[in-house]
Amino acid sequence: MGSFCIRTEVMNVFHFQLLGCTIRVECAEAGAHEWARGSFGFAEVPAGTPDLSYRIHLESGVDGWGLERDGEAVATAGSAAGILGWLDQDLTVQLQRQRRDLYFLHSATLAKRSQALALVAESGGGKSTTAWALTQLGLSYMSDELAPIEPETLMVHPHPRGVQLKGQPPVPYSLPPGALVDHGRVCIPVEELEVETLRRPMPLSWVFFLHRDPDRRQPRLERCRPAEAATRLYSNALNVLAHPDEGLEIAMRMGGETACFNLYAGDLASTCDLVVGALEATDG
Amino acid sequence: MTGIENPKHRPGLVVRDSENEAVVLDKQRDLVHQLNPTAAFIWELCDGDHSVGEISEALAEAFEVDSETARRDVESTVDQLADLGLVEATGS
Repeated sequence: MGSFCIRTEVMNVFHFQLLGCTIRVECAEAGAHEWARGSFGFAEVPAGTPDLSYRIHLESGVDGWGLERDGEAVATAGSAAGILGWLDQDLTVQLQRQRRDLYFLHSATLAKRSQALALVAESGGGKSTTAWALTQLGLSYMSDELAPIEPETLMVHPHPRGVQLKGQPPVPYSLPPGALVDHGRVCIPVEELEVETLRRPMPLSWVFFLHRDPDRRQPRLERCRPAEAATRLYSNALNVLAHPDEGLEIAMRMGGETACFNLYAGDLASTCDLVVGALEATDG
Repeated sequence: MTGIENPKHRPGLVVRDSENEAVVLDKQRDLVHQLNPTAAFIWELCDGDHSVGEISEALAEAFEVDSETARRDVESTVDQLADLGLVEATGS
């Protein structure tokens, strides 16, 4: 009998879990696999039956990467970072479908003294950069993009993806050695953060509405009245139609039951000091 | 000026009150509005049964301002509410 040989290749596949949903990602290319792990590796779980199954594959042409979900084409991109951006966007939508019971707020989330704070801003408004800078002042990390909230209790679930920056942070901040950089996009894996990343929900106690003006140096903080807070929260909610009363009542409760502030950001360090000062000065 | 004399709320709006202010959700236009205490007071009286003059008198008394200031504020607020599609003329 001749000898036989079994050759085993480790597939670039891993499973992770967010909000109780198991997601499988298969990457046909090492660069995309590195970005996928950098973004979601913290939430990795053993292989099992997935609720969502993604495949990143190589394509010919200018857009070299393609993304499929459960066999259906989703998007193409010209870089590994770009295709992970599409995966992240699609996942945000799919998680809302899987967890219609939760109220999804477009915000970064951190925690101090076992209480959560939300940083709400439009895309490009500095949520992720400010959240990352706040972790360097000791705040625990929950998410840089999404705050899934239980409507009845206002408990915020973590969404611990890697911190995604749209470019290099301002001086004197510098990226950790393990940060991924590709075509201007930056991903700081959760493992590179120097603070605890939470895996359990926290009660929402503070909300900061971040207003960015590149010309402003000195930051300013103003207490926000409940009606204004509710309006701003509502306009940053992603799935209002999934909730009774078009989701307005939840926004009203959050505006009335949390300490809300308008944060007019200046230079990053001073802005973060102002936030920490507000957390220490209020009971939440 | 819109010239609406007896303003009333446009049907279909969702309104919630909070500490003398109001939040108005306009599902038709995908807009949500916050009304500060003065605007919320005026809004409350835009029920089709009060004229701009009557609303002005009520505002002057409630906020202790002179009639001219109250009239100006009411007309301006009603105009803005009309521009936003939140009020319309009675009988519309």
